Amino acid sequence: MTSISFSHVAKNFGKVQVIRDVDLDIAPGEFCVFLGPSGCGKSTLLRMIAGLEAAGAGEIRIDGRLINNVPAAERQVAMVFQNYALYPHMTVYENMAFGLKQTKVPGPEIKARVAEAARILQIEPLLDRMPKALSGGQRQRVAIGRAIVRQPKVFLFDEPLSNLDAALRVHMRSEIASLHRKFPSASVVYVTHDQMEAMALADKIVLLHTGRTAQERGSIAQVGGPLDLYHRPKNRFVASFLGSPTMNFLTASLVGADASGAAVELSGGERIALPVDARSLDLGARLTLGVRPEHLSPAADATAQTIVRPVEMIEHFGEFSFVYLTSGDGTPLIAKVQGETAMPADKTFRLGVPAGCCHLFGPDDLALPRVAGA
Amino acid sequence: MAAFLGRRFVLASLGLFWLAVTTLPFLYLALMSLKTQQETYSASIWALPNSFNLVNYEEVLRGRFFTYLGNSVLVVSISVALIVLISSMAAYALARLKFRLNGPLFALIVAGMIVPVHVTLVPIYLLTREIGLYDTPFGLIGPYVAISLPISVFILTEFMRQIPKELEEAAELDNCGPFTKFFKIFLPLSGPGISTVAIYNAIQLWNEFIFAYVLTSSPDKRTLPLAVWDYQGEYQTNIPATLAVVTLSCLPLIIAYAIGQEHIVKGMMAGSLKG
Repeated sequence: MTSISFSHVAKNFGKVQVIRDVDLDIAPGEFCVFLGPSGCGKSTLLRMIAGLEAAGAGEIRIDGRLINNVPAAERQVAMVFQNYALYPHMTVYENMAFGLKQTKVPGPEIKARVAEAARILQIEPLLDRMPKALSGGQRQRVAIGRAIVRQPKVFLFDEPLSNLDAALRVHMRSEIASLHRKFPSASVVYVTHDQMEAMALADKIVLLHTGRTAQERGSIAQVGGPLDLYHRPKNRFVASFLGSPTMNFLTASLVGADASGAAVELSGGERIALPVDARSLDLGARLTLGVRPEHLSPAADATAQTIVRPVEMIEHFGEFSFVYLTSGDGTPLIAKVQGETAMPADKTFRLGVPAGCCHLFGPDDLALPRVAGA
Repeated sequence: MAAFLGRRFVLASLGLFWLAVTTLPFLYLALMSLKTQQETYSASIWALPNSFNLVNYEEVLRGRFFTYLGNSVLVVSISVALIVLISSMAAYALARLKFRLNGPLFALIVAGMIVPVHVTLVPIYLLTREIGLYDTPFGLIGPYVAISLPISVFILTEFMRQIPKELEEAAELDNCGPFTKFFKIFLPLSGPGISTVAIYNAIQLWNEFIFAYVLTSSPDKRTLPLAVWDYQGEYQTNIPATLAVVTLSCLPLIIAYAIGQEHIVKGMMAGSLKG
């Protein structure tokens, strides 16, 4: 069982700081996904674990052992590259056996390990082929096989599915998940910019910033389980990054705050109550109310808190529809509505806003804390 | 349609014209080598040989031709082997290792391409005498390797720069040091580039005249380009025999090029263009 820890890790490429003071613990056997927009430093972090990139500052430990100066080959990590990086002049078998030969593993054991990995990945018939004779999915399997045979303590995946087509990507995603179940003792660090992959695979998501300012670049926006990040985003960046379509943000001003919750008034004059603790702020403070499109629903019940907005356009997908509304303060407002929805005669929509699904962000874009029990 | 056909016609004509430019001299050479001495002087120089006459070849092959051939093969093969080894190692370092002065060093090596060999003749002649290699085939190897390295390093460096960085990183994780990376990954993957370098230099050195002329003197130490001297006397020149020697000297190259042509073209492209 292998843990990985970062403490105060930073990295510059020339004058650009790509990693900023990262503190992170990855538990033994955990499936940890580094998620973030491109340029946020997630691959750099992964390459630091692999030993392909030196940490500029701070300490990286694997199983408590400081590895900053340990060569890549001695870290007992295996990496699957985005473009597979199979040796083009070697057969599939040679590709998988190469690393073992280099570390002087005895011949019969190499054979056994490659055969076992090939069996798990169902690539036994391909062992004599050259990489150029394989499809993208098969190459991906070989690349994973090359990682498995090394029996590493840590598997590193650098956007392994981004070169595959959509259907294959879903399939390989489930294979990687089942692989993790087959090797429960190895920790997995997986880099992706695809939130679906991250949500589906991760025990823990590390969401990194690119940030609107250099100050935020390369720092961790939030660490937690997939649903934690989805339901309890710590700041507006996390809230907007996860979920598709992205969360709606409405300007609001604080009109009431006590121990049981807060009330805000939207630009349309509606009052929305929600269970967050806003007592630290002054009444009248300008805040941002966040609510996900899938949590806005056509209000059947007149007693629920609702907002009414004019409809601009409806997109139908059969299973659900996207209703595009004018929010009144210039920001777009989208509702994801189950089933099919016809354009109302008066071209307005009354939407229920469930209090428990609302988020309130302060002037500093940080989420206000939930009241206890909510 | 007419425009299309017109373009095809122009292209085909240009192609045929170029074919004529490159093959006619050789054809002329081969045909003239079949004439007797008499014929060369009596008939028009454009006339075809009267009969299929191999007398000149007999004379050439009875002479020192095989000594020259042996020397050429010895010098060229050792030189090319050294060129490939040295230039590929240098190219790997220049393309992949990060060290100070990498850029300036590369520029310096490539700048060697613009030094005319004739400028170096006298110093090299003196040096070769000094170290006792004058008038031996081995005296040629040093200069041959030296004059060929700049272009070879240039071609191979460009080639190795295009090998994906991830392969190198994968090798690093697979416990490869710089030497293993070079011999097990970069060298095999540079196959097309190395064939280019090998064939290109083999052709250049096979035809090399000036160093061979300056650094050797006895007939049994000379290489093929100097074989023509045997048929050129003070008062008389055996023209058809000279042409027979030249024809025979060309043959190995033509065969080698026919076999390796695809590699040469590919490697040249890799050296000059990206992608």
